[in-house]
Amino acid sequence: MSSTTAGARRPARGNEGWAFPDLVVETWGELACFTRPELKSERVSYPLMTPSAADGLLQSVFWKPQFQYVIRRIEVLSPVRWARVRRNEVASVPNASTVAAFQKDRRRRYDVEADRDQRGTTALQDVRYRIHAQIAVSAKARAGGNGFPPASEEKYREQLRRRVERGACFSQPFFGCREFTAFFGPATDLPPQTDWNDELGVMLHSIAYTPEGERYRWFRASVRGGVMEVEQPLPEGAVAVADPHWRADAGSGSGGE
Amino acid sequence: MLLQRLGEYAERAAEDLPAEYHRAKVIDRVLRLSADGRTGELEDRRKPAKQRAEALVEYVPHVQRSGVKVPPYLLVDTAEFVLGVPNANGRNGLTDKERAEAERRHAAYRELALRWADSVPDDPAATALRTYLTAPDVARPALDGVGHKEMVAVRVGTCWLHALPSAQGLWADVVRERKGGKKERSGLCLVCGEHGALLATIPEPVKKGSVPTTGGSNEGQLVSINTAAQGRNGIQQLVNTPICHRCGGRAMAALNHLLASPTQSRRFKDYGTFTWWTREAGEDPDLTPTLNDQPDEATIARLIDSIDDQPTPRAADGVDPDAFHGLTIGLNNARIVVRDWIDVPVPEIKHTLGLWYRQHGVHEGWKRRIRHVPRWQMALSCGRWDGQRYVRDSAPIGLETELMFSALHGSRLPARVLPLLVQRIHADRNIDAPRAALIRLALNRTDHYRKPEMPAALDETDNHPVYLWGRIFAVLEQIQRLAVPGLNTSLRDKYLPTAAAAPDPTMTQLLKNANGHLKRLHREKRGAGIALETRLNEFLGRMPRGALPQHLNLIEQGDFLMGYYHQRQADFEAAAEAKTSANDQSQAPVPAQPSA
Repeated sequence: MSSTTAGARRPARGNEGWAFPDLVVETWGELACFTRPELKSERVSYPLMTPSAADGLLQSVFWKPQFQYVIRRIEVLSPVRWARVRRNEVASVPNASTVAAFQKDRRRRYDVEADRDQRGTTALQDVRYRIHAQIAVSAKARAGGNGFPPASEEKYREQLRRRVERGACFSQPFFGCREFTAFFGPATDLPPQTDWNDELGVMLHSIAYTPEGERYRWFRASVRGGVMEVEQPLPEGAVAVADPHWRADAGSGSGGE
Repeated sequence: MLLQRLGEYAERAAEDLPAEYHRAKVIDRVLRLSADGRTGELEDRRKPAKQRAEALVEYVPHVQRSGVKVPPYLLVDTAEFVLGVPNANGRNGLTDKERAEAERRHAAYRELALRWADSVPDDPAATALRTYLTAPDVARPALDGVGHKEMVAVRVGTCWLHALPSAQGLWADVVRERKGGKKERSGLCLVCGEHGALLATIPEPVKKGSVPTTGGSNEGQLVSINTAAQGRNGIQQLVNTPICHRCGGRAMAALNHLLASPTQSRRFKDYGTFTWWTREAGEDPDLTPTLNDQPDEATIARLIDSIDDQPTPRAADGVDPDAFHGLTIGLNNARIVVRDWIDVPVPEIKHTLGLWYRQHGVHEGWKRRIRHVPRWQMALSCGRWDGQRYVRDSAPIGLETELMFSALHGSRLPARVLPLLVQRIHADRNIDAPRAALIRLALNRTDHYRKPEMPAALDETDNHPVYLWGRIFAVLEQIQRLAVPGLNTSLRDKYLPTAAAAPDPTMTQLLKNANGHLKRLHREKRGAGIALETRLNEFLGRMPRGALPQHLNLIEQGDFLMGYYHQRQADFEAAAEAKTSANDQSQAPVPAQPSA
C-alpha cells in the first residue's frame, strides 16, 4: 500500500506533499491560557493557541495510537483580548512518595490551607480559532499485521470528521487550563483577523515523550494576516532536555531561588 | 516577547546600564588601603536619613543570594563579610554561633577576593589587596561602632577595586557558576533562539521598592519556578524554560534600569508599576508626558489630530520602524506578576491615546474650554466627596491602573466604573468635570451605544427623552435657585437620586413645584422668569408624552447626568459671555455728546 503522507518526493505534488487537503476544525471558548514557558508561575498566555495545544485539542476529540496529528496552520478568528484572574492554588503536587506515605499512615491528613499558593493568570478572553491539520499514519500501522489490516489515512480522517460534526469527544477539550473549556465544530466562513501581523519569537511546537524524558521542540512563530503557519521545529539539537535529577520527588533538595 | 524586547532594549541602552550583575548601592564605609597594602583605614561615609542625597552611591556587584550558607559578593559587601563583624543584634546578644558565622562569611569573602587578586598578578591594586588579606603584620582598622550590615567598599589610593574591568569580568563568571546549576546545561535559548549555556535560575531580581504593593515591598523574580506545582511535571527551576545567561542577565538589568527611570516608569500605590520604552532611541515628546499622566493641551491636541493621520506606506505594510512596548507589573510576595503587556507600532499607540482624550474631554462653561482630565483624577473622582474634596484613599484600589489599560488598549472601561460612579453621585450629589469625563468615556466605550459619540459639550439636536430630562432638571434647578435666594438645599440635593431612579413621577412632582417658583419669578424677576419658562416649555414640547421610562438603567442614568451637566455648563458659558460683554461695554469709550 502506498503512503498518503508527505514523503521526500511528494512536494512536487503541491499542498507541500500532503495527499489530502487539510482537516479543518473550528474551536472557541470564553477563556484560554496557553502559558508561556518563561512566565508560568504567574501565568501569561501566548497571544494565540500553540500547535501543541491544538494537537491536544484534536486528540481529545479523536485519537488512536496508529497516527498523529500534524498541525499546519492556526487562524485567529476573534480579536486578541486579555483577562486577568487570580486564584488560590496549592504549592505542591502529589508524587509517588507522598501517596506511599499517606497509605502507610492512615491518620495523616493534607491541609490545603497550609499549602496555599495564590497565582495570577493573564489569560485570553473570547477566543476562536480555526485549526488546519493533517494526519500522519505510522509506518507500522500502514503495514498492518498481528491480525490487523493495513490502516489507511482516509479511515481516520473520516472518523475525525464525523466526530467533529456530531460534537463527540473522548474528553471535553480545554484551552490550556482544565477550567477553560473549549467547544468545537466544523469550519465556518468567518474571516481571520487580517490586520494582525506580529513576530512572536520562539514558541513551543510540540513535546516528544522519549525514554530519556520529555523533549521540547520549538519553532519561530509569526502571525501574518491573523494566520500562524506552523513551520517545522528547530533542529533536534536545539532542545532542552528535562533532567530527571530536577524532579521535585527525586530528592533534589531546596531547588529554590 | 517581553524578554526579547527587554534584551533589545539592553543592547540599545548598553552605555546606560551598569556592568553585568551590578547594582547601585549606598556605601557606608570605605576601607582605604595603602599602596603597599600594609595599612588599612576605615572611612565613615554614612549620612543621616535627611542627607540621603549626599550619600556615596556606587554600582557594585550584586546578585540574589539566599540559603543557610550565604555566599559573598566580590570586593564590596556588608561589614560581616568584608571585616568579619558579627551580628550582635540577636535576642541573646553575641553568641558563639554568630561569631562562627561571621568568621565563615569573612573567610568566604577573602577566598573570593583572593581569587580575583590571583587572576591579575600584575595589577598593583590587586597585589595591595592580597598583601592586606594574607600578610600577618598588617595594620588593620579598629571596628568599634561598625554595624554588621553596613556596606563596605575597598579602595587603593584613588582606585575603586570593584570598578576595575578585571573584577567586573570575574564577578560575571562567578555569577554564571552560581546560577548555572549543579550540572552544566546548554541548548536553545527561547529568548534569542540561539545555542548557549542555560541558566538554572535568573540571577538578578527586580529591585526592592520598584514595584509597590500592599504590605510593604520585596525583591521579586520575573521568571521563577520554585514550587512543584509551578513547573511542568513537578520540575523546579528553569529546566523546562531554557534561557541563556546572556538573555537572562540582560533582560533583568534592562528591567531594573527602566523601573528606576523617573520618566519611563510610573508607580501606582498598592498596585504595581507601569514602564514603557520604544524600539528606537530618543524620547517621544508626546508619549512621555502622556504616559506620565501630565500632558499639556498642545500635546493632547496633537494626539487627537493623529487619529486622522493616514498610515505611512511602510506602516501599512506592517514594516514600522519604531515600536512601543508597555509593561505593567505587580508583586505577589516575591514573584513579579505581569498584569499587562502591549507591543504595538508607535503611531498606533498615539492613535489609541488620542482616542482616549477625544472620548473623554468635557466642556467647562465658565472657562469656555474643553477640559481633559488626568487618569489619577478620574480614579480619585470615584471616591467619596466630603463637600470640599475627594476623601483620600476612598477611591477603589487598582482603578487608575485599569483606566490606564483601557487607555493603552482602546478597550472598554472596567464594568465597575459606571455603577460605582452613579452610586457616588447619588450619595454626594457632586457632578464635576472628572466625573462627567468618566461618564462620557464610559458611554462612548459602551458597545452599541445609542449614538456614535456622546459629545463634549451640549448637543442641541439630541432629542432623546432621557438626555432632555437631564436638561429639564438643570432648568428646574435654575428656576428654583433664582426664585429662592439664599437657598440651603437645592433641587439637586433633594431630588437627584429619585430623578435618576424614577424619572416620570419625579418630573410630575417637580413641574408642579416649579409653577410656584415661576409665579414668584414673574413677580420679582420677570425677564428671567419668561426666559426660563420658555426654555422649559421648549424641552417639554420636544419630549413626547410618556416617552420617559419609568426607571432608568445605568446607561440611561449616564445620559441623564450628561444632559444635566451639559445644560449647566452651557448656562455657565452664556453667563460668562454676558459678563464679558458687560465688562467690555463698561470699558468702552463714552461717545462724544453732540454739541448744541
